[in-house]
Amino acid sequence: MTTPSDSLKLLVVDDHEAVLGGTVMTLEKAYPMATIRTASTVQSAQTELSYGTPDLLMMDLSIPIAPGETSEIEAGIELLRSLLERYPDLNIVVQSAHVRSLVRLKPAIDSHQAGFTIADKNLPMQEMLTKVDWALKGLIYTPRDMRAGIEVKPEWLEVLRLAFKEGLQDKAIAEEMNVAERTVRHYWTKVQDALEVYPEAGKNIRIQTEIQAREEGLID
Amino acid sequence: MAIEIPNHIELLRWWHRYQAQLLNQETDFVRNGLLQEIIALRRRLEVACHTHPASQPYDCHTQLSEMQRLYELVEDFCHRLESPYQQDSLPLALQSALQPWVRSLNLQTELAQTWSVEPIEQTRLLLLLTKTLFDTLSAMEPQPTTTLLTLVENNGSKQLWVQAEYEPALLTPTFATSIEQALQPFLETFRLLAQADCAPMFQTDLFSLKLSWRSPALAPS
Repeated sequence: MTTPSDSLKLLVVDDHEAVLGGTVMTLEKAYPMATIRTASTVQSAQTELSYGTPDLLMMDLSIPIAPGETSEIEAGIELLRSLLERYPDLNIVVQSAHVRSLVRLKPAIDSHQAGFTIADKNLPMQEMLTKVDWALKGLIYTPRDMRAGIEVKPEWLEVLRLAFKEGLQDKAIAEEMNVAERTVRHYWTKVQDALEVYPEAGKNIRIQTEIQAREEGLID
Repeated sequence: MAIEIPNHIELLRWWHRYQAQLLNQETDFVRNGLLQEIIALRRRLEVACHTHPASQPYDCHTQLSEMQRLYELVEDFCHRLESPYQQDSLPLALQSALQPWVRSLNLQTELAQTWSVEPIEQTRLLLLLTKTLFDTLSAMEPQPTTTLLTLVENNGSKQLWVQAEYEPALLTPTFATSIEQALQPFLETFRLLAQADCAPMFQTDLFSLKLSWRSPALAPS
């Protein structure tokens, strides 16, 4: 469930002052009542997180470990790896000019329980805000070129089968699969990302998922 | 000071790895500098245009399009310096690098979804080799009816296989010579670095190139 925007807490991590300023300005326009904190290094990001987990963390990948050090993708990747481990419920947007390096963390991203979206820094403002909105809603978005073909896991296929062949709702699917209903919702976001089905105004995302799953031959 | 007689293959490997790392550093330098400045300018422009669209002394749409074009030019330059995914995944790097030939060569790919660690110099060499091959194929007559690139890994045994099919009886000895001349330096280098088997094959309606090698840890010493 999305947190009401008046109580949102956002943390933005970027070492480039002008980019950080631009991102914060953009978020302030979209979420005027939100509290936005910033960090420019791995260490300051960790310090900010120690004060409390935000509703969403937006981070660059190329950042320094400490003030005065050189920005490195490895530093951002390692920070993200530790965040995925320690904060399974944290909604994350990676906004970077190095998004392809995220393929190194693909297994960890695949098992992340909360929202996770990837926004190339070159995205227009409105598209960047869409990725923020999706992450806040707990959705998953990874760019197509990070995948060699459609990757689906057996449990995602089972969700599709139970929903579209047996006609079950999430609660019944959860009982059938012996998992929490929340886990079923997580499987939905994963399979929707694999099928590249994302929220669109006026369209029912479950029906879009069924259409796409049939087109790809995942269900008969 | 005594100078040891070098192991020439190791020296060649070092040189290729050094070149790959150097280009990676240069690419990161551009991404962390110039691209970030463009992004910052763009965000400021977007916010200004969004807030007071009528009071700007310029056409917002045109300015943002120009900014987008500039970003894409610099990003394309980065991709020329270093293919996307080169540092991380051979299948994804191939998938990205071969996009320009999908339509012109009717190229289809069957790529492994996971790939064990590939030395960076080998990934770079394979990308250069396949790009040169497809450049050559697309510049020559006749054009293939279909082209298939397959990349598989099985228990540390790796194989990259390209097959280009043609109308019957169209391929000539001249065609084979041109392909061989274009590929030979790459194939010889890859054979040395990866201890690979490289098997080009020509028929009158088919060109096939099969490269087979082992993961470094499993390769015979």
